[in-house]
Amino acid sequence: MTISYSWLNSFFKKPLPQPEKLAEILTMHSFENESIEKKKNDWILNIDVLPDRGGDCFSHLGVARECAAILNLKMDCPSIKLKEGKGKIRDFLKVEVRDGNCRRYSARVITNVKIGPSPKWVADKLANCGLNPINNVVDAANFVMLELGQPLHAFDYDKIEGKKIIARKAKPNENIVLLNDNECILDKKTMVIADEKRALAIAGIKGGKAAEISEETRTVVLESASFDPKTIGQTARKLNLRTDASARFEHNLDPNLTELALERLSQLIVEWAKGEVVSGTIDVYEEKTKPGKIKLELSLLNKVLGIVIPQSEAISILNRLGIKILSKTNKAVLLEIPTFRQDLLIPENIVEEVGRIYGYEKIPSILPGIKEYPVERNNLDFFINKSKDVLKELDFTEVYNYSFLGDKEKEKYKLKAEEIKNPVSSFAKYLRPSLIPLLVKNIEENLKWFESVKIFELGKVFWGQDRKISEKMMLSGGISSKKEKAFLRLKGEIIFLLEQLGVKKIAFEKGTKDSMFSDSLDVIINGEKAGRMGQTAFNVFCFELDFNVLMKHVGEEKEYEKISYHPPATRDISGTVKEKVSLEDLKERIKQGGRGLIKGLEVFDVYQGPGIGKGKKSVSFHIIFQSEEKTLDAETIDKIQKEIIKILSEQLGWEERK
Amino acid sequence: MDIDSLKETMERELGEIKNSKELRDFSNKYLGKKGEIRKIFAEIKDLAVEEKKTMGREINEFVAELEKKIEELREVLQHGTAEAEKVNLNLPGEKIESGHLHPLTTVRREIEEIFRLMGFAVVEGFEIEDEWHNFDSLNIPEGHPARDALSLGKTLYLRNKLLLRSHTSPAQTRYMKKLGAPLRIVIPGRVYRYERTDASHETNFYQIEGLMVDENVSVAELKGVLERFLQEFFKKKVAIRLRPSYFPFTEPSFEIDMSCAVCSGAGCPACKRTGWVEILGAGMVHPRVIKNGGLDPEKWNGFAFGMSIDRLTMMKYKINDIRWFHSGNLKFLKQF
Repeated sequence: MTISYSWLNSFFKKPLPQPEKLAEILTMHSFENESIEKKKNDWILNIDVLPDRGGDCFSHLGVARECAAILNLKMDCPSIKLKEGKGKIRDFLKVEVRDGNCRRYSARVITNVKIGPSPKWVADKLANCGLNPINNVVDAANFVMLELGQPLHAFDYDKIEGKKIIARKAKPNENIVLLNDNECILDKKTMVIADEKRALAIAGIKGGKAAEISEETRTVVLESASFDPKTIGQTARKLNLRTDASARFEHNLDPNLTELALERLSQLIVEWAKGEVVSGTIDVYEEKTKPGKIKLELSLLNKVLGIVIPQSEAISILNRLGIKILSKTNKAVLLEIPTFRQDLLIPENIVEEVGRIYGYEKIPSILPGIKEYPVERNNLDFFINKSKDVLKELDFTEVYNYSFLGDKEKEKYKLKAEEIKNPVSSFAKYLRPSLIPLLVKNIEENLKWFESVKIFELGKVFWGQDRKISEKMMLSGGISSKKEKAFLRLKGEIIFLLEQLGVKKIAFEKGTKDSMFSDSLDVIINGEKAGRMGQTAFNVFCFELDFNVLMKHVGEEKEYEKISYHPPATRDISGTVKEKVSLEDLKERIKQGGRGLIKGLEVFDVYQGPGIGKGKKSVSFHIIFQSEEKTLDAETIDKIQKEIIKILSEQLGWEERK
Repeated sequence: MDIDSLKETMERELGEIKNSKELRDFSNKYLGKKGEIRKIFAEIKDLAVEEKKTMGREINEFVAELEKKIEELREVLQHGTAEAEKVNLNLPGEKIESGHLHPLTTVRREIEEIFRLMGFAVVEGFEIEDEWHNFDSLNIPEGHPARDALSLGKTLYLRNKLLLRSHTSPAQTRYMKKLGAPLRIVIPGRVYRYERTDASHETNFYQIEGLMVDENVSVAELKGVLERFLQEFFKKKVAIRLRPSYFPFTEPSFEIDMSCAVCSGAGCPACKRTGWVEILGAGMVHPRVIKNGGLDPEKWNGFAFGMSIDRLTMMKYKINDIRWFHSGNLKFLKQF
């Protein structure tokens, strides 16, 4: 809201503080002041009126009331005395309200106006406040809107057909040419102000060409009305027509304001355009807005604000805000809320009023005591943090990508993805069902600058399920390196990561090929699929782990294992086995046969190709035997080794290589 | 055997030794099991007793002397070797590569830790929300200007009236229902807005929501908690001030400024010379929201606040453009 400092001052006998100071006072007690600008003998304040206060503070009067309440100043508003001429308004005009969304319609008629430019000080004032001066009648309407907050409209009386004003819903496809020459096609949800034949204005938003004030205008009809804020807001948005009037009506104006505004407008038109006021006012006002009542327990002030405000001070503040004390006991007050404060509905609203005027700076800082501690740890958060730390140790850098994908990724990876109805751009049309597409993109971008790239992301992925859209946490990463065996490195890193998270039984199984992975392994934890890893692009290897599954298998238990002082003995076994037998199975069986004496087990060679039967692979293991009790002799170890080979061959079809 | 000439030879050879190996060879040649000294002892075996005695003593003394010299030389040679291989401590250290955490992760952890120490548990909300939790539960009903401002222009919608949460606040009523009161939680997470992106606006960003519900919670406590948080986070004494604001889900509502961390309130470009920086929005939970959380507003009240993790991160590291966070650019990420 653009506020003229001199205009504000005109409401007071005593001068207000200097503009800078006043702006700061308003910022701390009412609304933030965004800027102060010096303009032609005046300062213009740019005040960010809070959305719940548009009803009374989109006006100089409203802001002046704030100043009066904060600074405890008396306002000086001269009463308006209109000299009414002959003729009765009902002989000039009829008003019919057919739409309940028109809460009140007040009108006056002024004859013999002389349309011309406004006085210079008026034109200057309007210009300072960002409005273009037009003519003395239109300017007067705008002037009163800025002064009191009530949007007003003037029609050329002679152009009104049937001498009747009707507030009604528009007919389907009814059209209207607006003051700016734009044509609008309306629907039946839109409210119009019409005469007997056509729409003259879109109610509460903008006037039309049909009854526009022109240089020839002699008699004017002044409209001062009040409309349902919701209806005005919806229409303004639908027509994409935000005006000074609609902005005010949207914020729930006080219907009781129409009268004062109409009197003020008439007074100014008589003054600036020499008109004669026709006797009487038309005022269609079915359901009168009455002052609300709020009962305030005085203890609520202290309880909520955390400071004791003297009762007399609280009551003085309420009075300064125009709130009447209807009755008072030691514990509570019954308040009457002026109708211009439609935002005050519950006791907490009053707490805010008293608090802000009293001054929030007077409230001390108090730390609440802790009742329950230590605070329970969030396990998910803990293991997320741990995973990130482990990956960081493994040289991975964390990235954050958008949750969105475009058509390009969707098509490239043949993804099923939920659509966003109002995407920000075509690159952000879908919710990501996987973190991998953007990670691959990150890798490719970064390879322009870096020899090798290792990145990870932990974030939500989304997928549709009947009527629902679900989300879950995924941990994904990717690696691209000039070094060979990047994949095996990655595989080792995944095992390391999972072990660090306390995951026991980790296995890999051959996964499916799809548009994301040209070759892949499933990561299996305790028999449950927890994710997959594989090649996603040339020399780019990625993994994804479902964090919900992971969380079922993580842990922090560790137990010290005795360190034996007896010498270890290493044996190698090599043999061939069917391709589909997993290394994990082989290891499992070796341990089975090891009588608890196996302290280390490592695969050191896997080979498939010429020399090995088709569908088979050759595998070699290092086995370290060690006892906690004694030095193992060769005989014992030979025996165990034979036992192991026997189990392998019987259960997995192992053929020992001689 | 001429002992004197042997002595002379040995002295000379000893003087010519240049490294440990030569010394070892020398030592073996003369003092070894089959060395010259042994040979001499073997030779004098047949001499007369008296002569044998004299010769023996002489040789033993010489050998002791020689061993001492060898030991000294070994010391010198070893020292000398160390000298030759000595590291130049002034050369640059090796470049160490390691991974990096995203700055938003680091800052989020710091924030969580401070609140945890003040008794606030860390919980998560959903990123996909329904209209009731994102708006209605927070006292932003259909037709409310704030609803329109937030929903039409700013919210990203999915099918079946689902949406991407436009703030972390919907978790307020969810957790009131789930955990009851008294309650102290922070809810960090990703939120979504329909925005034209620029240096300070993003479509994906991060908020942390705080909620404390108890009997007799006051603005003074809200002030205390936030002031302490900011002091811990910026690691310096900061002042805060509360300005009137409006949020449908809090009453009273505040905009909270902190004294500028750069100039300590003196006024500088970072705070537009005001000495204050707007840092978060907060307020006392609206009774209707308490009720929507399944609690009795006559008994329970509370405060709530929400702040941008991105903004705190940008302030902490002096990052000038919010878009870096989702750039995936390692030149940026490897700085943290």
